[in-house]
Amino acid sequence: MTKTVRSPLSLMILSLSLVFILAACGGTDNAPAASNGESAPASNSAPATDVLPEFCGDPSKLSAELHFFNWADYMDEDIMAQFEEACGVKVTQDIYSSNEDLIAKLQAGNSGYDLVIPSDYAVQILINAGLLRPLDMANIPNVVNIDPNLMGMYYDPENTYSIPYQWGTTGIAYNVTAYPDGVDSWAALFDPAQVCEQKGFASMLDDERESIGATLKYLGYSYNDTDPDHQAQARDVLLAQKECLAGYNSDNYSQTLAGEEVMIAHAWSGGTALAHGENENVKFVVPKEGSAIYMENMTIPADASNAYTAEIFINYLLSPEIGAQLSNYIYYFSPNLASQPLLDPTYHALLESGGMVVDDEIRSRLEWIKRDDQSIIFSDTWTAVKAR
Amino acid sequence: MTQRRKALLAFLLGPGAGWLLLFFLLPGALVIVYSILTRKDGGGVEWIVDFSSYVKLFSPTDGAVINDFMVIFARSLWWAALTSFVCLLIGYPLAYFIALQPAHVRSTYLFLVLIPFWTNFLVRTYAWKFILNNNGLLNTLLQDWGFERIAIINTPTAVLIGLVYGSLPFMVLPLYASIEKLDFDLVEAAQDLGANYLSVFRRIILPLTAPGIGAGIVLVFIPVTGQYIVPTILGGGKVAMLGNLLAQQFGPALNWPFGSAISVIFMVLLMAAVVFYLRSENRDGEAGL
Repeated sequence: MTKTVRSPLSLMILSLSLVFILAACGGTDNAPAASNGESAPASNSAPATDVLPEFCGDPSKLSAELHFFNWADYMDEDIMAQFEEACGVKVTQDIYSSNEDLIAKLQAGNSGYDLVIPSDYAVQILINAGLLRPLDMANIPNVVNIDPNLMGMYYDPENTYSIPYQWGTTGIAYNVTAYPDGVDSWAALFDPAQVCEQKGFASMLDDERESIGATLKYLGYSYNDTDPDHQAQARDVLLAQKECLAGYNSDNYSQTLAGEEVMIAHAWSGGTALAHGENENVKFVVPKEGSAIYMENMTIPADASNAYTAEIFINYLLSPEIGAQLSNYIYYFSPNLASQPLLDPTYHALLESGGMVVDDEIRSRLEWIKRDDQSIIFSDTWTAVKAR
Repeated sequence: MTQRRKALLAFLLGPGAGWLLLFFLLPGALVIVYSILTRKDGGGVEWIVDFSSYVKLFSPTDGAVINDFMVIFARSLWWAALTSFVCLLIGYPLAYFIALQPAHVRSTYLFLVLIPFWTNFLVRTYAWKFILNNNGLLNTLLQDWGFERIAIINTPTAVLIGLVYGSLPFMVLPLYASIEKLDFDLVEAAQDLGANYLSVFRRIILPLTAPGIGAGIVLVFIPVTGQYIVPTILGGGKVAMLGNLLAQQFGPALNWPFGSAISVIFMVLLMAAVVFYLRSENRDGEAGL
């Protein structure tokens, strides 16, 4: 051997350092600093008039900034700008893509966020972990605008910590060109003969609770069934279905539906409404066997530094006008009854023609996804589906 | 050693050692500790020692000794090996070609190898999705030329293409560094002594560039085992690799101790593989360290 040959270690170090130098050039962290702007008065960016509109609350208690942690495509940014214009509070928004991301962030402490939007079961987890702060309803009089049927849900019976933000259902999105007679049963996705007619053009949500839950419903069980035998049956149905799927997708199913890359998909009503808005052939149905309901909620982390401002902003979002503006923008179901008369006619028309409207009969078939100490079996079933 | 030399040494080694301690050893120790704690429903851990994560990892499922976790382990290792092999097949001739060019051209070629790093890996993986889609670039071209469409997206083949594509520069760079140092007088001497091309390659070039091959394989193999993006985007999320399993345990399952146990076992496996590799290098008189 000649001495000129480099040792493997030095070669690795050389290559790695090249990679790291290149990698170091990208990536910034958008999370607000935890120590940020502790309740500084809003004076410098306040509007020209000295007297703020009444909905801005007590100006001396308002902070200059509000740190909002939200799902993607779940807020009209104009609303944030309007609030800043009126009350002089700059609302900055960061995005998460799963409840678990949010839970991990809050559990680590000092997240720096003042307003977060967890789903139903995540609210329960956060309350049990002591990570949420009770809301001062005196600052949120507009809570009376919320549909009473959507208050007092199982995860927060007295609405001590949470106020409904938007809600939706899980079901099947399909393309009428492939299904001229429509779809009414989970069998379209779980009966191998039926789903394989769309081989490579069908997708399921990449979500262990939703996909296994839907299979359990198809088999006649509860969405939350943790019985090992029932879970094993669901696993076998999912494995039989798998070879005819394009894949598991809960991130951009609305694009693949609108672009007709998939003709049938396990989907949420909110994303399907977006797809239907782009491609009217995409329709939605809550299967006759039943399905799931979900609701996102406005909550304030226990360690939020600007809780008062967050409550004022929640109240602002619950006003009829702003509530309607939000719904007209994101096309989810709004719990805000007072905003209904102000909604754009196309909002109703779109939900109507897309099959998204939930009446009492459909509502009676919907189940909440619940978590308890037995729920871990969903993860093991899902691992089996993905491993085999 | 004098006082001044000691101070100098501390000054020079301090930042690097501190960095490794803070961002490598401590988190690594934390993962090991978490792996023997109790799962807290809703994420996090209870500070109660509990080895059930390891028991779960090695318990048979449905009577099969090879449980689902082991299947995912094996798949990750197998795909990483396959990726390394294909990268070597493509990367070796490329690195050899570049090393034989005149010096000023060489840097241009190396630059070209590195250019893909200027675009985020996620973006490049999505680009592959658009190429391989049912209605994507590849199938459109095939149809225009009168061929049948091929269903390649959301298959293991698509995953392998994405893995090879993403890893190739990590193979080419160490190979290049190793081939570039090759003393071509030895090649000539062997030819003068009557060796044909094959035996020159097998008995001179290959052994002399073996360290580059080894380094390339290690650099490709280890990151690929933990891949998350490629199986999700190009495989349609249908077939899980180790990275997907870990994301599931720390994400929706909220089972941090089990996720940590998986990491620990895999770290041990990979460390054993690297130690084995370095040992065998040393046995060949290659004094790598």
